[in-house]
Amino acid sequence: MTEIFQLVQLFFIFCLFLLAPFNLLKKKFFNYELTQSSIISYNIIFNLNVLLIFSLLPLKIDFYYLYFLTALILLIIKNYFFELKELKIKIHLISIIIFFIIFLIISIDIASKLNLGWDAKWFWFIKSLYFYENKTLGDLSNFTLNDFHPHFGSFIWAFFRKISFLNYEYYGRLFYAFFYIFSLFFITKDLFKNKNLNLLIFLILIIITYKYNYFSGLQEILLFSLLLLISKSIFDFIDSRKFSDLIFISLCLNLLLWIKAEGIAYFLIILVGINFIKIFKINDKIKFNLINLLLILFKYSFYKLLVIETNNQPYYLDYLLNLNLDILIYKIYNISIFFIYNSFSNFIIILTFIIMLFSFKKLLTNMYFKNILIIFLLNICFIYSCYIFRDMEVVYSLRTTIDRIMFTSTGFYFYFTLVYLKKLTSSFLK
Amino acid sequence: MIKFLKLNKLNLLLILIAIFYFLNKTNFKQNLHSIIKINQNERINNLYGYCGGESIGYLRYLKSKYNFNFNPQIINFDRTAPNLWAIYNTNKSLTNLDYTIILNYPGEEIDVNLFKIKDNFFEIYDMDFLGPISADEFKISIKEKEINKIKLEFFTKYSSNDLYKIKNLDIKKSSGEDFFKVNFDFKELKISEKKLFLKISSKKLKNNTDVTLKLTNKYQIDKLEILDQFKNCYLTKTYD
Repeated sequence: MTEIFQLVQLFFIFCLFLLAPFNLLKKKFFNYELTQSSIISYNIIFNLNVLLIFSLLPLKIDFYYLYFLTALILLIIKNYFFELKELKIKIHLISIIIFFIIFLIISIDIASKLNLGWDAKWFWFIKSLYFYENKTLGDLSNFTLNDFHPHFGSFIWAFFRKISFLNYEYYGRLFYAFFYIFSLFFITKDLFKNKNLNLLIFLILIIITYKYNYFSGLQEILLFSLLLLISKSIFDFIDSRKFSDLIFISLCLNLLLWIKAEGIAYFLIILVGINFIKIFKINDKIKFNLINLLLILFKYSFYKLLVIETNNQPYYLDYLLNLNLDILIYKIYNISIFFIYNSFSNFIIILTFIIMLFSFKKLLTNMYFKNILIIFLLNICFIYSCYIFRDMEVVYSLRTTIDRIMFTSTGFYFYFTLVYLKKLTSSFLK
Repeated sequence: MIKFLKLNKLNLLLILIAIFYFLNKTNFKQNLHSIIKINQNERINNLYGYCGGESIGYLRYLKSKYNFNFNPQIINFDRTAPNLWAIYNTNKSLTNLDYTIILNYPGEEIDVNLFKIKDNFFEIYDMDFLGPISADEFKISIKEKEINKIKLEFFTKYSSNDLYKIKNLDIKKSSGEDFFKVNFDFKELKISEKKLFLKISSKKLKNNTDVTLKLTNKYQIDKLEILDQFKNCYLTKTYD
């Protein structure tokens, strides 16, 4: 029972990350008008970026985790203590209850199964152990398998494990579940005017996408959740042209960079996709690209400083130069087979393709459709490149990784599919 | 107003159905029962096994009993995910090779799985895993015991689907022996995770001969100091 009590307690601790530092009751921040949903999402992404900064500092987690939590609590008291009624919790009560129920169901599934994924046992868990045992990023260089991927996902795992009283390792992974649930909730919350319908769609998405393996210490679920948030923000930006949406996207892109090596690929795909948006003012474009360039430069400079390999994956120039046509054809053939096969379990990709086929004219006229098409094509190129240019036996490589890469990629397309289905239903009802 | 309420009621009903479906999909009742009745340590032991499979239970027992101030080498003869995570010591980055935890010890020899592709042509499974834990000799036997001289050809596939020969071995045995004994280290083939194939040929060899391949175990328990043992799981130390 203590474990279950701890799960409930952790839910409320995770919710602190949604309520501060920005006040949900304010409508304007730094001259930008934001909705309540935007502010909630800003809070969690901002807090994760602050945690990222902490993870880079030579400070032990024990030193600051309580201060961090205390600061959040104080900010929440400052924001809402005298305006509790304004929060209108009753209106949102059913959403909060359903959110909590889903979190509890998934948490209990994780708590019961406990099994860590292969890569989690190989290096993700050990990286989190370094942070949990009060080592810093510099100490991680002592771990021989540190260079495969960045550290932030493991840091979050350690941070939230530290917060729990029982300190079981799986408590850290529960944040991954919370973030995943939040991301799906965020993209469905304002889809239709009928809130119950939105909740139903949210639940359907959970049922479709939930698989325990994604929460077995692997990081793909974090990338997927971030891509969900980004995809909605791109739509909002095209709709309202607010630079605040681009700031939000940049903060999400920054997290992508520090979670997994392929984060840089998703980073660049989104960057290219956004730059093709026509309504983008020149000043905003320059600012946005500059911010993101600085983020990349910062990461690589920081890695140079700590003498960490930026990407210790099996991609070598010699291998690329020695690729001949036979090998290329063999690889493309196998990648295509596995891609098509895995598209059925990640059917959103097929659905996106079908929607694009049916809305071919819109691809040329509608900015959001065009943007998704660019992202879709770049994404396919990325998936193929991963395996063509990798110095590894291709079938083995595909069998062990393509499902996860394709699942991550579906984060781009869920919101697009929902928007299309919404337009379809509204034109059908007319 | 009534219509709105009815629509709301319908939505709420659908929401409840979705929640119950999800509860069923995740085996909620079983999971809840498992968390309430079994503590976390026991759940881990049940999941990973004590001495068998990943043998995490035995590793955790060793860690708590011996309180290692180093990271021991772990050799698991069952092909599983890496085990070191269960007892990793972040204070010590290097592995102390004097101490070895041996899990699921199979004995002095390791049987190798051979999958027949066609006559006298086999795929050797798991050599990327077995190569590093085997000594530089192996035994091979064929059904026709009277044949004393055979040729072994090893093949692999690189990035394409074409077979490439990587090694030839001509081996002999005396008439009374069942096995051909070969001094050869499979690590020399450097196949990493690539597939490995074996073709056996000889003048008098029939097309569908039976083949048995055994590797010599690099870790011979009788040559190591046993500090702890549970069934076929051991904590060992090399003799000074």
